Order: sequence, then C-alpha cells, then structure tokens
Amino acid sequence: MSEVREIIKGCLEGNRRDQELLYRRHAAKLFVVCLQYAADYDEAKDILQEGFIKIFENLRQYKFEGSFEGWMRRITVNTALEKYRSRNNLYKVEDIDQISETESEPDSEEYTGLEASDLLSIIRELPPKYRMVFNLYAIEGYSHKEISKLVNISEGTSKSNLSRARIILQRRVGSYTGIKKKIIVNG
Amino acid sequence: MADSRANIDLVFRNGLKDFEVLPPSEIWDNIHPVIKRRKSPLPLLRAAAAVAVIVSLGFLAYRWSMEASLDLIPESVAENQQLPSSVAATVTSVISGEKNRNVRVVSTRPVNTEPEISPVSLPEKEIIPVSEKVSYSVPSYLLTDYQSVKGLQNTSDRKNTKVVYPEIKPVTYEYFQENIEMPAMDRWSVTAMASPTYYSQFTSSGNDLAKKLMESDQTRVSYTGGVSLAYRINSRFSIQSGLYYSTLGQEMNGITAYSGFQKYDNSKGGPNFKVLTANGTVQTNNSDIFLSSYSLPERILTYFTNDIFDPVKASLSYVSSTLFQDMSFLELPVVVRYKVIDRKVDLNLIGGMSYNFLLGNVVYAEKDGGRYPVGTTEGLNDVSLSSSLGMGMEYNLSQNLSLNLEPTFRYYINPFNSARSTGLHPYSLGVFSGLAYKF
Repeated sequence: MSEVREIIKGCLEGNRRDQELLYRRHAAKLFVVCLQYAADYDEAKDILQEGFIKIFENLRQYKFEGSFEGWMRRITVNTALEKYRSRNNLYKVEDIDQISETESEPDSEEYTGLEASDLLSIIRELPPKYRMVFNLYAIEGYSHKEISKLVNISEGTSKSNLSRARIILQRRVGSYTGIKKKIIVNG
Repeated sequence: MADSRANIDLVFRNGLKDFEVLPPSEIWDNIHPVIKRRKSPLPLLRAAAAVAVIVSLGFLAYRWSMEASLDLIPESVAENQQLPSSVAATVTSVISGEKNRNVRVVSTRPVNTEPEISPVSLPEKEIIPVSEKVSYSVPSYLLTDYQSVKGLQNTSDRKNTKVVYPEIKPVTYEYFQENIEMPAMDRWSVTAMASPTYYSQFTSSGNDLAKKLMESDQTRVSYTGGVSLAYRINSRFSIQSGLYYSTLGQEMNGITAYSGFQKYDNSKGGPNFKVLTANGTVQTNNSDIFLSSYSLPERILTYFTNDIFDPVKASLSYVSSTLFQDMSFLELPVVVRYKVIDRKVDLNLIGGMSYNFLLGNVVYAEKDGGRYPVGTTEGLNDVSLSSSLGMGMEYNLSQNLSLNLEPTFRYYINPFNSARSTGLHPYSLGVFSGLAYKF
C-alpha cells in the first residue's frame, strides 16, 4: 500500500498524526490556490480552512482514481467559488475599455525573469471577475462552458473576461519586469 | 497576438505550479477540533454494535458454562447400580470380597463427611467390616424403608455380602412441579425506548444519476423514540407493539440557495425549481428561493437556468450551499421477541414488521442558525413498511423494572417514494435504549 493510501486510511480512522501529516504536506501548495482566488489574505485563510474541513469530511469519497492532489485542489477551488458566489456585493470592475488592446506586450523572454511570488501578486491585483475566469481557464483548464456554469455567467462574458484579464496581466507583467530591470541596473 | 495570450497563460500556469506559501499556523489549530467533532456516526454505531455482540457472546458463554457445571455432578453409583442424585442414606454393610473384586462406593451431593472411594480393591477372602454411619442431610420426603439392593453385586458376592440401602424413590421433574409453588409470571410490560438512528441506502440499479445523488447526499443521524406494550406468551416468547416517532434526514451538498427571487418570479403556479434527490424529487414552494448546482447541474430542473438568470447579477442574497431534507414518521411495529438467556441479564432475539405513517415532509436551508423554507419532497408514500431484526439485552434492575439495550437493523421493504425507479433500498441501524416495567 502506498504512503498516500496509508495516510488516507489513518485519517479515515481518525488518527490525528495522519490528519496533521496530510495537512502539513499539502497546505502550502493549496494556500497558493486560495490566494489566487481570494479577495484578501483573510479570505484565503478561510478558504483553506473550510477546504481542508471538506477534504477530511469527504475523504471516504476519494476512490483513488486520479491524482489525490488534484482531488484536493478541486475541493479547494470549489470552496473558493462558493465564497465568491456568497459575496453579495458585485465587485466594481475596472473600466478597461480604456485599455488599448494593441498596447505593446513585453517579450516572452521577459516573462521568465518573474518569480512565482511576483506572478501571484499580479494575479491578485486583477478584478475578481477577471481573476476568477483567468484562474479557472488558464490555471485549472476549465472550458468557457464549464466556467459559465461555475460562475453563473454566460460563455460570452467568460471569454470577454478572460481576454480582458490577459490584457491587464500582460500590462502588469511588463511593468513588473520594467521595475525589476531598473532595480538591477541601478544596483 | 493569440500566441502571446496563450503564452501568458502558460507563464502563470507553469510559474505557479510548484509554488508554495506557508499558511499561518492557527489554521490547523482551527481545523482539527472541527474534524474531530464531526466524526462520522457510523464508526460509533459499529462500535456500539460490536460491544453489544461481545457482551451477548459473553453472556452466552456464561450461560453455557453454568449449564456445563450442572452436568458435572459426580456419579453416585455402585457398580451396575445407578442411584439418583441427591441421595442421602445411612449405610451399614459388611463387605467380603474375592480376589480383585471391585466395589465402587461413591458418595453424592450433599456429601460433606466422606471422601469418594473408587474403585476399591479388596484382598482375597478378607472380610472387611464396614460399619460406617454416613449421615446426610436428607429431606424427609426422600427417606423410606431400608432394604437390600438387588443387583448390586453378582451372585457370588451375595454370599458374603450384605448391603443394606434405603429404598430410594426416583426424584423426578414432575415431583417438583407438583410440590413447589412457582411465582406467577409477569405477563405484561411497558417499555419506553429511544435510539439514534443511522439511515442509509444501497442501489441495485446501474443508474448513474442515482449513484451520483447517493454520493452527494449525506445522511444525517436521526432519532426514534416511543412507547411499546409487550405480552409474554410463555417464558421465552413475547409479542410487542407500540407507537414510535422517528425522523430521517439527509444533507444535499453543492446546491446553492439564494433568497430575494420573488421580485423576478413572474410565473403563476407550479414550483420554480425541482431538485432530484436520493429520496425523491424536491419541489420548491417558496417563490423567494433560487437554486443552482455547480457540481451536479442536471439535478436541478428549472426554466431559470444560469444562462437565463444570474443570481449574482441580480444581487440575490446567498443563503447556503446545503439543503436539508427531513421526514418524520409515526411507526406502528409488531415485534416478536424470543428470550435466549433468562438470567439477571436477559438476551432476546427480536424480529418484526412496522407500518410507518408519514407525518412530516420538509426541505429547508439554514442561515444564521435559522431555517429558510425551500419546499417538500413529492411522491412520498403515506405508509411504508419496514422489517426489523435486532438483539436485545435486558438488565433486571428489580423484579418489575429492567434496563433495555437493543441494537436493531431495519430494512425498508417498500421505499419511501413510490415515484422512484432508481432501485434504491433504504435501511437503518439504531441502538435502542430504555426502561421496561413488568406487571
């Protein structure tokens, strides 16, 4: 029996050591997912907490088909979506019609200079509606049809939001790499 | 342009793939007490059932050992002569024997003065005077005239042997039946019992939707309680009936409920939403509610699909992502009990049938600790029939009062919902406990 199976079996039997082991192994990676989706740091903590409670409560439903990490990630994303839907206030979306879609884009080489923490910061700066669609499409790999059901928007809106998210991201990546270059040049 | 956009997707996807950020330590401190508290009730029931089985087997073993020890009363026989047990006599005999003649003289209970001698080898031609007066505590009704016992020894022995035994009347079961007054049996008993019940079901069909519904719907621990009256037909069998109130419920996760839909609801009559569940179809009767399911959209039947109406855009208020489906029944059981062990702690086997009359049928969401009504489950049978099998332990506190513990398995012969064709078979496990008064 693999180690993952042993740990899951221990968790199902209520073994505290295995429960904590499972949490310690995956919390840091899943917290990145929470930070990608959450409105702020406190909400990311809530999502991680609720997500892990669901993971432990539904562990019996994991049939060892497919990646366990992927299964946990789906639960975390679903928890983040529930949080997103539960927020009654609609986020005020930045008026991006003023953003030119022909704005020059940074070279792809410049992307490589960015660290993961920079990428996370850039995603978190996106307006929530764009962030949701970008995360679900570009990171999780959902189709626009699936996203429309998950976020309760039309497919057209999903495509439009993704497109706008990409424009903002490209612009912000450019500014990040520019700042970094200046820092390196200046010393 | 398109390539650069796809490229930026990859930059973020690959860049964040293995990135980790340590969460604050208090999160685990918050998680652990919750998962510890919400431990599944099934292992507890299993443990209770296991304890009940172990205790029952223990008492069975105890009973068997008691019966075995009663069978181990020493034989009180002379050779070729069987004497009844509990014999008491005064024996005066002179035994002379031939070579290697064996005479077995064995005392029986109650014997408190003489050791058992068996067998005794006597020297040839040696006359052994036996002048033993063995006094036993003997009930007077057992003592009769003394006389020699025929057939104790073979003919050659009789020449030199004179054995005088009392004539012993066989003590029979009938004797005690005639002469000992048995206490009158309490024929009736009233029992008040309650039980936490774990309800579940299995499917015999290959219906994918039914399997998905069973996976997403979580049964909750329910409760049963009531009063029953039992009549004891004889020392072993009794028949029992009564009235019980029981609840059954389940949680349906992944269904998001919003309130504030009434102002957009222009339809006249009929439910706005129908929700497929393992127990049947829920239909809304609250026109203010809006339902959607992101995890299993096909379970929501409505004209107000997500592409027609967006609850977020419409600023509906989020209520909950879980619906609760509750049913309550009045049960009329007819049960036969067979007493396997009749001691300080009795053990009973219990089997019977029960008619279950539907009393309550409600579906709701919870918000801030309060209930937000959603609708009802349609097509529920007004009457369902269930069979039950259990094992009851009865600890006698006094002659009239006993403490009862009964782990019971119940299988529902006809499902709750006549409209379903999903091949689902409901069952429940419960551990009843309560007090019984006999009169």
